[in-house]
Amino acid sequence: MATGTILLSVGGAVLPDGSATNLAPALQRRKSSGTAPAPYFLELWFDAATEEWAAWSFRMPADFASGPVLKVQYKMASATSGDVVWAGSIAAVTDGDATDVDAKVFATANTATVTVPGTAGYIDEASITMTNADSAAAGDFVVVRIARQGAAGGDTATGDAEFVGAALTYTTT
Amino acid sequence: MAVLTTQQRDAVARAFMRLVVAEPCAFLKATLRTAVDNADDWAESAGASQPATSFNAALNATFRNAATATQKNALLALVCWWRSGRTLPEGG
Repeated sequence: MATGTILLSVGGAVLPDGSATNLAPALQRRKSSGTAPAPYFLELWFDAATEEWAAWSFRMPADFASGPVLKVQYKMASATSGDVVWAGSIAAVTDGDATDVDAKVFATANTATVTVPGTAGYIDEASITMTNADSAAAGDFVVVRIARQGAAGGDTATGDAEFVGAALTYTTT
Repeated sequence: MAVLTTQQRDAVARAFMRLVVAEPCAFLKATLRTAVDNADDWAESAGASQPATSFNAALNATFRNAATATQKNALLALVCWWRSGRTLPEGG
């Protein structure tokens, strides 16, 4: 057994349509303020007052066995204290399932509350154990949803959380 | 005039978080939201008569000690903007 990784890049995110409970984070191109040529990269800015989310779809690798864990990398726009609540959800459909994919829903969300770095702009990583993984299995069509629960009582940090990337890790066969 | 409604005060807090960026904010959302209450109450009293305290002293101690002078100015500006009957798209 080893650890497998599925990269969830900002550029590969599918953003919801902005209707009620389908609020999308702002997609931004960040230009480093460092000396040129400085890095450019994409970010998703998750609001502090509402729940915004993005999704990634893929085929679950053949070596997937168990234990999916979401690793969410972010930094804060301004906050230097407080917590952020990240949520991860999975929808998985297996070949032959009696499931209309067009009407599929996510399994119950898994959450992690993390304390933001003491300096804005520093990276932090939230680790979300995906206990509710919708019985995902190798070869499944999978959609992963990542949200900041900005309206949750435990989400106390001000301003946007700037998501820079994530990965779904798992135990291989 | 009357103080802002709860919904308007919520909107001011959201607008603050949207607009005051790229600088450290060493206070929590709840502290900011209370500071909006403080600022609006102070503006209400200052509009009626000479206020008993300074704006800075009217702010809750946690916010007063954590926020910078420019952040306090931004808070007062946003509260007064809403009190003038205007809003900002980012604040809702």
